[in-house]
Amino acid sequence: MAVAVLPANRSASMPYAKDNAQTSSSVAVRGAFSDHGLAALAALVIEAAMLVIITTGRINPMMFLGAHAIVVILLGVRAVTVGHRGGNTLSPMLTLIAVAATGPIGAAGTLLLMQLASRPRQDQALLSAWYERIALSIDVDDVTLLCDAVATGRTPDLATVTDRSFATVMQSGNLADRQTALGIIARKFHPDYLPALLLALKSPEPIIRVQAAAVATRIRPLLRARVDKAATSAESVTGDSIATLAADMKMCAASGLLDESDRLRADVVEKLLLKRAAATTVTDTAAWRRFVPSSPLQRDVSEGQLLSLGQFKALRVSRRLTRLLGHGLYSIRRPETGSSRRLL
Amino acid sequence: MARPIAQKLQRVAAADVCIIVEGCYPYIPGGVSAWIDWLIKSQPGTSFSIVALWPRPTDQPPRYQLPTNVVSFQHVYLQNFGASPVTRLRVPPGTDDFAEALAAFSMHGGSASLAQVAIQLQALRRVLPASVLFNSPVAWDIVRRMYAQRMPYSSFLHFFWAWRALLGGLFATLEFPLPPARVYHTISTGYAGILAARAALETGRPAVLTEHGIYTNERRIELLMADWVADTVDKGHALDDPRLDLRDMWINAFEAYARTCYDACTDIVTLYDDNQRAQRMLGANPAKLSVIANGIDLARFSNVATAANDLRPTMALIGRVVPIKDVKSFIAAAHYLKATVPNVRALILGPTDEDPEYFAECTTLVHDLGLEETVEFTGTVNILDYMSQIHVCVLTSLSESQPLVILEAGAARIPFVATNVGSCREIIEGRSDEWPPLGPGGIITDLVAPQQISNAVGQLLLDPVKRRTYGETLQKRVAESYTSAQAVASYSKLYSRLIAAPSAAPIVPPTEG
Repeated sequence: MAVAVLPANRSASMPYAKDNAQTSSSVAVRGAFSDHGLAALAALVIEAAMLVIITTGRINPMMFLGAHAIVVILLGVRAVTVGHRGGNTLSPMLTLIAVAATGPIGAAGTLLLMQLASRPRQDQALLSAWYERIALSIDVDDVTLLCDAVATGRTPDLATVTDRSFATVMQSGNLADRQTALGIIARKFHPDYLPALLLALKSPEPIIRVQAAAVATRIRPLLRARVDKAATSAESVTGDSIATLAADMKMCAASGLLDESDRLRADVVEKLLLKRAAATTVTDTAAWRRFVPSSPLQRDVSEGQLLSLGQFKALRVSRRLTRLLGHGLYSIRRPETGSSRRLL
Repeated sequence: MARPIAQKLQRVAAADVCIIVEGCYPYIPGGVSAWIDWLIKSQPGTSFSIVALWPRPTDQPPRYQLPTNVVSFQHVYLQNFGASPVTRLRVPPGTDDFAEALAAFSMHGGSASLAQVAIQLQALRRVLPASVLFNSPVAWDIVRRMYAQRMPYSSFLHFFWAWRALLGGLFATLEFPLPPARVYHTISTGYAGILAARAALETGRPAVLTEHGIYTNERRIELLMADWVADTVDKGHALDDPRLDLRDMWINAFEAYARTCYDACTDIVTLYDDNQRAQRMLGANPAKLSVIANGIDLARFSNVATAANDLRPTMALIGRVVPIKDVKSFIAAAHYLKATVPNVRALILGPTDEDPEYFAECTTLVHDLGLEETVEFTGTVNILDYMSQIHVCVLTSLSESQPLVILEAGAARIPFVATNVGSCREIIEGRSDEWPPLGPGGIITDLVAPQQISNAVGQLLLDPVKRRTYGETLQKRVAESYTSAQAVASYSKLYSRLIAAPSAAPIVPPTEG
């Protein structure tokens, strides 16, 4: 129901990233004639002038002290005003104390200190680069990103890695775990997650079914793209990639998430690949194992899917392959020679 | 389409009921908006004010004319909060307490926690406006502390902007001048729920919630899948990594808002039983929960002639051609059904212009499967013109609440095949406490299961006796539990009780406008 009360995209949620980066490269350098500098300069001029006048004997020491007190009071008022406005009171206070204690020497000293502090520091460039990095306005290489992640504690915590498959989580996990798993399936989809998604679609928990349906809607185009890609490369793929691709098509077709026309295409591509594979020597049995479900649960799910789709021939092939691989050996008959060759 | 909302309604007049709605009425047609329109019109003796929560000021024209018993209409803009940034600001006293209250509220929610936030904010408001505070070093200090306490592993940069998005909406609801009303009726949790909760705390008047879908769960699903939420902590595939990241922050906030709304409302209404489970899981007090189902005008549909047995077997999907209706599963079901019912006709009655890309995919699928003589897209039609031709209605949706189409078909004695979403099972098979049990009015299938749908429709198309029995059962159930008159009476009774209820002592002093 609710529309767009969440930011629609990342750039909307971080509108000022670029602006921050730009201002970071122009970190303010204090000039000699900032507010504090002017106050210190004024105090220096007044105190020095009075000192010169007193040495000429034109004013008596009491008048000098009175004028000095007025300068100190004015500096004090200035420090209080800066503090009230929420500004940094360090410089005004330093100036006040220095002038109160040592007159023009103190004023000259604080002015000199401000000059030294205002010089651009050697690491300013480093600071600017840092601002640009954290504002994400520059590209950062993968090694640096990894170092950052390790230093900030953002790498995966091996202590929390789960040993449960997502399919097991869908069957017996708590609600939060199931929803988190579905979120991962949506964001980091891989066809191996399909059995878990199919279980979620049939979950007795309505919240899980709704979320699974949203995930299914999202990954359907991804599956279709896989079928499109496989269809274009079915004739050219070689070696053990044939088995891998055929297994992928089998999984996509059995998922129930493809449009009927795409499912039929996936079927056709799988059959084509199987035919090509039959004419090829298989050296990597691991690739062939992807044809069959890797666990009883996955087998039940994929066989259930094949049954519900009426794919009886595919079901028989799947079961035959499971039996053969379970025996630890199989052979491929070469039609042209009539001979068979045991491979394991 | 409605005329722009008249300026005169911008003056805030006192109303019996203040409806608080987020992100739909009056700008988005159908669904909840249509329900709100129906609710207001069905209670002509009750005056309503409306507060519509929207992201930003919009040029969208309203899709509904405000009924005559609406006395005021206002907006709250959730993403538009904050004055120009202030860099020089003395930190006022009470900031620490406010930061603590805000952190606790964002994490856990609850009306007591919201009251604390509101009270602390009012104290700060005496020194400076909240809109200034939101963009000042005070807010910066609060953000830094919340980050250090709650999410020290995640990226601060991302946390800062997420905080601003979330808290901007919260501040907007806390600052909004409440219209005077006897009852505050929110149509969701979320920010609308917060506004209703705040109204209850400040005015002492009762707040009531009607949930169609479960807002918190809808946001959770969106957030768990959203690509725009950065995963700044790499949790891999771990399901219970304790480190909080941005996704957790957003989800926790919406759950906190839901708990607050459930806590503050005196009555929590939903459309069907299953939704109450989700509400209880989020902490709603079971004693406050009740069901008021949607209703239809039975008379409008009950005189429709039943489709004759000798007509071409026809199944129909009545709905928009959009992905959530999963029209492709309906088309695939028609393909499978042709094996057992070769001359089946599959009608799709609904607008096709809402998602042209999806509609194009559906027509391609029809062509690829050779179903041009079977499947027919009619566009927007008056369904009454087609009902006497339809033997079985089908709904293949991936998500629904309480679809009126099942009630309407049921009123016309058409059996239904629907996916197991929302209240479909409850309508078709009856509630668990239905007595005497009437039996099924159709068949429920799994989601994304065209073969199952095809089998179910085939059963009904090939068995006229079963089809008639199911249709009559569904009509009986609709007549007993889902009429518009019953829904109107239920809300009338609810409003009368709440309007007459004495005021509680306000817990939070009223916000000065």
